[in-house]
Parts: sequence; C-alpha cells; structure tokens
Amino acid sequence: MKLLLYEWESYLQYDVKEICREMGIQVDSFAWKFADKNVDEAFEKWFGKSVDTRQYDALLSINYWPVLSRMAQQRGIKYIAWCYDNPLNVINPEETLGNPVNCVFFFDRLQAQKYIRMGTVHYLPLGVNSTRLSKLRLSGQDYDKYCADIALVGSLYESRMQELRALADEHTQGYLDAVMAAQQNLYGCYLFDELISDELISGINEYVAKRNPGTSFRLPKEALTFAMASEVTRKERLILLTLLGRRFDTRLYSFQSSRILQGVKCFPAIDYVSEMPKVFACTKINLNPSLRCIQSGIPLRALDIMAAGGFLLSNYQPELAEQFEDGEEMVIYESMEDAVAKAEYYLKHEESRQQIARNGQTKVLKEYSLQRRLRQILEIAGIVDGATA
Amino acid sequence: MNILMLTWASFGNRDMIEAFEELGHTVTECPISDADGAAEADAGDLTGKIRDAGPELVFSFNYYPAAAIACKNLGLHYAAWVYDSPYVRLYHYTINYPTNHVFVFDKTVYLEFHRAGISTVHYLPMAANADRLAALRDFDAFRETEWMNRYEVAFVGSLYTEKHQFYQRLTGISDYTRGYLEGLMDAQKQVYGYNFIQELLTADIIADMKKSLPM
Repeated sequence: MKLLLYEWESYLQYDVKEICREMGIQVDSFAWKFADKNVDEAFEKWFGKSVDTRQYDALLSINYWPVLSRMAQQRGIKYIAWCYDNPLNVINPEETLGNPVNCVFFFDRLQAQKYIRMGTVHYLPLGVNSTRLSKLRLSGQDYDKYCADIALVGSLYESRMQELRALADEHTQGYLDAVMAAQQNLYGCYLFDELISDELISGINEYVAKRNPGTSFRLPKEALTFAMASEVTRKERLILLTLLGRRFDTRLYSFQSSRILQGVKCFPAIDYVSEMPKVFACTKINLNPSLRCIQSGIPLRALDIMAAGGFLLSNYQPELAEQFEDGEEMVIYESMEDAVAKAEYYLKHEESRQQIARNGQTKVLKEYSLQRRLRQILEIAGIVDGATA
Repeated sequence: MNILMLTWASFGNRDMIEAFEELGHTVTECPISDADGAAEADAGDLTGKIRDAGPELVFSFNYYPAAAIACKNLGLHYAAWVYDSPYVRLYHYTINYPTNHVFVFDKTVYLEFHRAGISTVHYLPMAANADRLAALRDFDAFRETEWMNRYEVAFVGSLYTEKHQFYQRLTGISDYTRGYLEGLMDAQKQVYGYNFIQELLTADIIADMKKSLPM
C-alpha cells in the first residue's frame, strides 16, 4: 500500500508518518503553502505535471483542504482528510465536502452530524501514537526540569473579538456580551451557532457599510463565532490559571504569555514529540480547558495528557464524559470553583491521583491509538477490507 | 389539633382543608387579602383575629410576613406552604422567626436559604388531593362525556402575557442594555436546568434598568 501525504506544520503529522512506517505502509509526501485553501492555480499546475497519482491508494492530509479534494476528484484518486481542528476553518466547505473521492474524518460528533448527509463524512475520535508513548522513560533530570503542581500546555487564544465587536452597534454589542457571558459558565451546550443568526450578521454588515460607504468588507458568521469562542476560551484559561496560580505551583507552556497572569510561571512553547509527554508525566495536574467551539469531541490535548501518564483535569466535554470514567480515568470540572476545589483535592490525595492517571493511560494507549485509528480509516475508505485490517 | 387556615383566592384551599380533616384536625378559615400591606400594621389586626380563634397552628398557602409577626407575638407555630416561585415575600426580614415553618417546592430556593444559614425554610414538593383525583379514574364514565376525543393536546396555564409585562415597560434603557437583556433571554431559552439570568445581570445593567423604572 502506498499513500501520498500532504505535509504542513501539524501536530499529528510526525506520528502519522511513524505509524505508516510501523504498519508497512509506504508514504511519499509533498509540501505546499497554498495561496488559497480553495483554489490555487500554481499548485494545481504543479500537481498535474509532477505527481503520478496512479501509484497511490489515496491522498492523505491532516485537516481538510478543498484544493486537495478538487485535485483528487480531477485525478480520480481517493482523498482522506483527517481533521483534528474544529471548526474546519474553511469557507463554504459544503462546496467540495461531498466530492465522491472524499473520505473526511471529524473527531467531534456534532460537527460530523452537521455534514453526515453528504455521505463522505465520518465520525472518529482522535488518537495518539501508542508505540512512541509506551516507550516514554523519564530521568531524574526530567523531573527536576518539569516537576510542578499544575500546568497548562497551550494557547491563550488572543482573539479578534474586541476588533469585531467594535464593528457592531451598541445594541448588538450588548447582545454579544450577554451571549458570551452565558457561554462562559456553560459546558456541553454551544450557544453561538444558534444565537448568532444570519439576521444579526447582516445587521452588523449593514451597519459597517453605513459607516464606511463603499467598503467591500463583509463579516462572515464563522469569523465572529470563532472569535467569540476564542474569547470565552481565553477568559476561562486566564481565570483558571490566575485562581490556581494564587494557590499552587502553576505553569503555562505557551508561545504566548500575559502580563495579567500573576503567580503563574510562564515557559516557552514545547516540542510536541520530544518534550510535551515529559511535561505531562512530571506535572501533578494537567489542565485541558477545551477550545469552546469543540462542541462535544475529545480534544487531542486531553488524549496527549492521558497517554503520557499525566493526570487530566478537563472541562466537561460530552464525549469525554461518555467515553471515560470521571474520577476513575480522569477528572471533569464544571465551573472555575469546581476546578480549584478538585485541583486542591487531588494535590492532597497523591495515591488516588496516580491511580487515575494510570487508568487513563492504560485506556488511551489501548483504545485510542493512532494505529487503531489508521486501520479504521483505511477500512472505512475501502482501501483495506475489514478482515485484513 | 385546631388549625387556623388563612385563606385567600389561592389554589388548593378546599383540598388542604380536606387533608387536614382526614388527618383528624379541626380547621377554621380566616379570610385574608393577598394585597401587600405594611406587614407591621396588618399584623396588629391579624393578631386579634388569631387570638380570638385560639388555634394551635396557623397555616397559609404562600408566606405572609404579617402572619409571621402575629404568630411570633402569640408564641404560635406558623406553617406556610409556598407554591409561587420566585416569591418575593420570602426575603422579608421576618423569615427567620423561630415560630415559622416555611415550605418551598423548589430545591434550589431551599438551598439558597439553607446556605444563608436560615433554618426556618424547608423543602417540600407540591402535592395533589389523591383521593379526589382517583375518583376521576373511571374510563367507562369518561367515554360517555363530551370530552372524549375532543382534543389531543392541552396546555392549562398562563402565557405570562396576561398581566403587565415588566420588560415592555423598560422604555428608557440604553441600546446596549436592551441588547444585553435580549442576549441573556435568548441564551436562557436554550438551556433548561440552569438559570443564569440573575448571576449575569451585572451592576451596570441593573443600574440602567433602575434608572428607567425606579423601584
């Protein structure tokens, strides 16, 4: 079997290549910086001239790229898109998602359901490289370097909300503020898709046009809801870190930092493969405040933490609560107060914390391996049949 | 036991009296008005009436501060079963009088008082007169009535548009406040089992509402 992989800077890519090697799947790869995810003439020309698609069983990419789907459709080769970002960050994905060569995997069940009628979309939770992570060994130096009570590895999500909010009139600003305030305390129920109506968006666009005659600017709904979700996530992460930083030895590993984060030790971003698992294994409590537009799915970060043997303290996510045992394999918080109380409890109860981390690790390495996921993907895509997979 | 029941135009008066009597108690009715008077002034009047009746327990649906004051003065137990929620009179300063036994049907309301250290408010779900309603369970008789196959779906209750609508009287609030309130209501419409309106009404929003409708 031979796959053609589109390479970009994605977390999953290294492991996907490793796993293909492990499973005896040949992989050729190419990289390209698309001028536009939807249409890129230069790319299409190059691809048409330089790539003989007949030798491959499928074209594979992490996340969904409409331009790749279009090319695959033209050349009659199967296109497998394995998405770990949510939402898709593609304008009008419906235009190409239904291409018959497509086989698109979403880890968020609600998002998959949104597109499932297209017949090319499937729901599949994410996974981790269980071979790599089960070989994880820690030295005394690692402990010295990474040991802390609490850590968050991830972005603070600088959002464009202030800028977008300023486009709207006073009434709409009040509306957006209230809806975000409601979403802030609410897990497992995503308000923005429903409440940011097309009328509200046209209202903002009309107001912008009235104040700037001749402007071609149009605010898309997706941009506003993503900014709102990022803003709520940012606020949650800042509040959570501040509350915990005041009480415990708390670290943030991020390419961003914030002056308002007092009592939190800020470290630069760490490498996904070589460093991150060690941080999770050496930190007593690892936080997963999910990006709020992930409506029901289990974010990759939650699986990364458990697979490395780290103790996971996550916000309530419906699929996490369904598939994992709260208080046995990981711990779920439902509010900021709840998160602080649970952090305090599990810092005091060493044995139960370690047992929970072990249980979570065992389950993820066994049932959430990328190896298993790739076999499922190849089977669903019809490249291997169930018996051989 | 002699029970004095303070009656007003509430649901369930008849059923409650029947229930007390079935349990072997004697009930005397004392009509009161549901209008908001000054609790202290009304209490004087009520104290005389209660003293004349000489009961061992005073009962009312919903909670009346005047009755609480009268009962405290007379050293009598006052049982109040509250079926409205929210119910503003629960927040009267008399609520923690030791002679009070106030029952609310909403656990969240009970917890609010419990957390504030008030031990006179108890949790008790509402109830129905089971004997009276069991007598209706005669399907053969029902089949003969005009109600058979008349409607498939019914809703008995208020649409909350009948009386005055506070929200529509908020004419002087800013555009921002109006947008905020609309956003809050739209969000709450999506969610059952968690009421977040109160905690999200910020001081600024309340101040703007008060400016428009002073209370």
